[in-house]
Amino acid sequence: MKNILRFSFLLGLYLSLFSCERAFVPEIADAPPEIVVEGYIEAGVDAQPTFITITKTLPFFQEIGQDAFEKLYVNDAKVTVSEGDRTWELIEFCWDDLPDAVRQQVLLLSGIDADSIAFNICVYVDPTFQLLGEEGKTYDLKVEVEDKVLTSSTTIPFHTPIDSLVQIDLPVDSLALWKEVHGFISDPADRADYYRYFTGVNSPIVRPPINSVVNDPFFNGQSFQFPLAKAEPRDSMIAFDLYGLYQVGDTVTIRWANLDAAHYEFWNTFEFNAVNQGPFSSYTRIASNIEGGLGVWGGYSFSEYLIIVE
Amino acid sequence: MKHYTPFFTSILLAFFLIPSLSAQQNFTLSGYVKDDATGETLPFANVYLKSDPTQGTTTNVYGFYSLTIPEGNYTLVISYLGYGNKEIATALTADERINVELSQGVTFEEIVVTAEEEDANVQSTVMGTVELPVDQIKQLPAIFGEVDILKALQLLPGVMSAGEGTSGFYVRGGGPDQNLVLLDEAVVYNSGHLLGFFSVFNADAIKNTTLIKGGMPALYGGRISSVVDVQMKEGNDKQYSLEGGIGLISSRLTLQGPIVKNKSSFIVSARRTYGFDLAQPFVKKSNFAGTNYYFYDLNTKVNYRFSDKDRLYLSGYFGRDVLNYNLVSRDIFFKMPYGNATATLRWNHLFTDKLFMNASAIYNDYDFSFDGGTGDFSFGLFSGVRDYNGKLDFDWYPNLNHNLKFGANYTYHKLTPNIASAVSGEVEFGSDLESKFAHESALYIQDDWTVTDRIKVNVGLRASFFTQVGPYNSPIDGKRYEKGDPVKTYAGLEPRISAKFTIDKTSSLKAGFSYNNQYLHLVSNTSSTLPTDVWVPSTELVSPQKGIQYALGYFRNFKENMLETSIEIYYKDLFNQLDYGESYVLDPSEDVELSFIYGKGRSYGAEFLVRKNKGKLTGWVGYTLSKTDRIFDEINEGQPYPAKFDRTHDLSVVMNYKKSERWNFGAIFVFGTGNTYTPLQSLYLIDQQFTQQYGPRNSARIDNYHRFDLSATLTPLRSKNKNFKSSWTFSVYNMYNRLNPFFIYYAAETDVNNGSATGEAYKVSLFPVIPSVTWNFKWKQKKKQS
Repeated sequence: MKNILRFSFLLGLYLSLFSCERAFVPEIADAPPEIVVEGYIEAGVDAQPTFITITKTLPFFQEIGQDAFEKLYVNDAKVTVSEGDRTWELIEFCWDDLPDAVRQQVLLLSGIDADSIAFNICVYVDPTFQLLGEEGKTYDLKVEVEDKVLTSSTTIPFHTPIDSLVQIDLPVDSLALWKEVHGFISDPADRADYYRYFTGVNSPIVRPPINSVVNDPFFNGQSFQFPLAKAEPRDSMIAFDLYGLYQVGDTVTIRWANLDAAHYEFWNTFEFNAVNQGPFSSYTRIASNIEGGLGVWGGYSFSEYLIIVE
Repeated sequence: MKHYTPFFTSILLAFFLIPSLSAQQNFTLSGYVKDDATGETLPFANVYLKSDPTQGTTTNVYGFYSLTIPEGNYTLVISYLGYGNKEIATALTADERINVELSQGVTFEEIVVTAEEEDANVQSTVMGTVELPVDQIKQLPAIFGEVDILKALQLLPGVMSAGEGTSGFYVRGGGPDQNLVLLDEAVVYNSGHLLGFFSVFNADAIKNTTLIKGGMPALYGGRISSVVDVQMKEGNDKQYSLEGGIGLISSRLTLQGPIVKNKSSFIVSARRTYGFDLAQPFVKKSNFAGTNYYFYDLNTKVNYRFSDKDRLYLSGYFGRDVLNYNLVSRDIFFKMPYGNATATLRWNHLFTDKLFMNASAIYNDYDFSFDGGTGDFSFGLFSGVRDYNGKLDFDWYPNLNHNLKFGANYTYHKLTPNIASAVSGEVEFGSDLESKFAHESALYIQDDWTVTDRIKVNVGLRASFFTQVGPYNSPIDGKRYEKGDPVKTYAGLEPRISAKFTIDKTSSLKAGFSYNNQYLHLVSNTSSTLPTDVWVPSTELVSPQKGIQYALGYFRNFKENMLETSIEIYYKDLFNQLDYGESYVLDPSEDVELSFIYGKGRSYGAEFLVRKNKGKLTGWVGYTLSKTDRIFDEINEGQPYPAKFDRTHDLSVVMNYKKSERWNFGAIFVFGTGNTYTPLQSLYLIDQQFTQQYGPRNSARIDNYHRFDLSATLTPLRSKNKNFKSSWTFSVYNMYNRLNPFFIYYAAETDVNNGSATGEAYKVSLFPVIPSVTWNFKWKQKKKQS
């Protein structure tokens, strides 16, 4: 359906022969900043340690410079995660406060690209690194900051791995050096499943493609093959007919994850929010699972695969 | 609802008694009013006594009139907009049948203007109703030269355009699904081509359009806002004619003529676009070979008059939009055909000179499908509406003081939501969604009752019934209903009343009240309705929409009815309004009814109209001041917010100047308060990129909308061939190139590496100044000397 909307833009293109576009400064809604929580808890081989970031919203129409980025982070929050009768208190670490050796370790553990840290990122982590996710368990999050209490809960679902991966040739000679990568899965029939995937090329760092989530009412209990699109670098302009393709010689990492319904809704609305603009579109409010704020507290169970495109 | 019933029952009883109390030696004058050149019947023509213009009636939709008056000598006056009046003298000593033929295109000087001519605007009980003969619409400037009935309606007060260049419309604060659009009595579920930029009505095949925006008579039902009743031409029963036109977007061809002269005729009218066809030689050589878009319409109608008492009509419409897309290098393709098909079989029968019956059997179908794929993966989507409809309508003219209409209506609905299917290699997928089925029926009675010389009342009652039947899986208790099992029944009494008080010969006060139920719904998550939007029935989860409207009007004519003016104010309450939640994402595997949220709406406003129907300069100025709100618990924390079609000011100036037989000029100016939209409020960081948080719904407005269009029609003076006539219409849309924003969008550029980001907003205008030229022609068979 989303694609139909997009395809309807093709007709819009026809009309755009006549169209004219101008930048303007719209009315700015005067709203106080809201608190945004983002955090993940994972179950899988080499899972990242659980971490939380707490930031604030910024008014849309402004040039946002490094200063503003640094002020984004909300400090001195009390953050706890609990599961059953176990509770972990997360401690804030800011990049600038860390000794070099620890920075290297954090980079290694978190998989964060060192280049992406141009300002003082602050995260809340379990200093003992004992807080690791387990399938089938529910983790409650509580954030107390600036006289506010934000809560959330996420469940790490049982994982459905990919059975196998396959490379697909394209029908024209001009694309002989490009391939699609498809995966096979066998979706369990007895439960509602929500999936998300990430891909990486020639690097262990994986990113989500534009449409990274799917749920299973349409294929519940079936075994089938489906494409795993390459995640294009952000803000890149990719030719339409090369979208999602891998080049011969690429080493491709696929991370395949299960998530719960609320976590899926967050990403589903997040991705639709990004595309639901244009001549016939409306708007989409991102469905947060954080009570009292914006953002997401999400559990994943995942598996990772490597394939070399030939 | 119960408290209405005794009141209306007593009124109905009262007027049934009146004829017997006032019985005297009366006779009935009846007949049909037709166009003398084509034999087309003329609906809503005025028929009245010259000696007392307040004693009169109008023809019904089939051109039939009936007047019961005491024995005596009378002169009957018959008038119809755009035609010369006709006077017929008769000495009434027995029931008499007088069929009248009026001549079209009579110039101003030739029109017989009776000093005390009755004027429907002031004298009728009707409020919020406008007749637009298609010939008048054809004189107006049109975008790309495409004459469009629905766009012409948007120029009337109280009717808002759904967006620049679109044929979608909102009436008095009602949603797009609350308009009942009828083509020869068949409901048209999607009245737009090309995402709504053109309407499905080919003006060459259309005779008349009636818009009822308030005080809907009991005859109509099933929608809570308005009725657009479009009648197709019947076909010329005197001579053959061929007419057509070649425009920038499409070409048209219409053939009509007698099958049996003066007894039976036919019309076939076709239209097709060809913009993309012309580009095919280039497309074929590209990576998009096989990509094309076009739409077409086919209207046909035949009729046979067995006698003065019996006439049979069979009419049909078939239209399709076809979009094919191919991306050869990726083996990606899709086809997206959609459109309407309708068929109407009608039988007119006169039981007596006072009792007219129409029985109709109607079939209509709207379907949308999408088939696409890549490699060995394919995906299909289908949705649609199919109705089988039977109707029985009676017009009874017991005496001069009463004109009763009563009847029954039954429809069997099949509504198919988006049903998706897919194939990946050997594996097939499908959702378990099913079509939904329902019986809808109604009984109605209404009387146009002349209570006194000064007071006239149109009172009516409609009883409507709706039963959803299986197959259906209850989302409430999981119960399975098999085929035909009743799931949920709704019923309602819908009282309608409008009254007129004559102040003097040129002015009157009118008031109206109407209560309507609506059992089918179309909810859109887009800025205007798209072919992908689905119609859904009321179910055990979805309650019927209800609308209550109150209206008050002052009508006054000037200069011997040369100028009609009116002020109407209205207040409207809407209940059980449907929408999607703000986090709704299209999901073809889920039943849309599970995603609805429910709220209410209200709209109020004042409409001002000055209309000049006679003379070289004709046209109107319409202005609306209005406010339309919606309230949903889930939106803006339950606070009222302006509907997306809330428009404070809406002004239309429409002019037509017939300079000479050779030149005719048209001009349109429109101004409207800018549309509401939901502004972006803030950005926040998720996964190292900025994402968008929106502010309250519809809390901002884009620029005011205004535009000026001009047209000039050149009809070369008669050539040697008197039977062939052609004309050139030159039209300029958006004369002063106003860049009216069609939509806005946002872009945020984030560079996390450098710790910087910028937000931008853009407004996009679609239609700059657009000149167009259309060539129209008409050939008529030579009149045989009889």
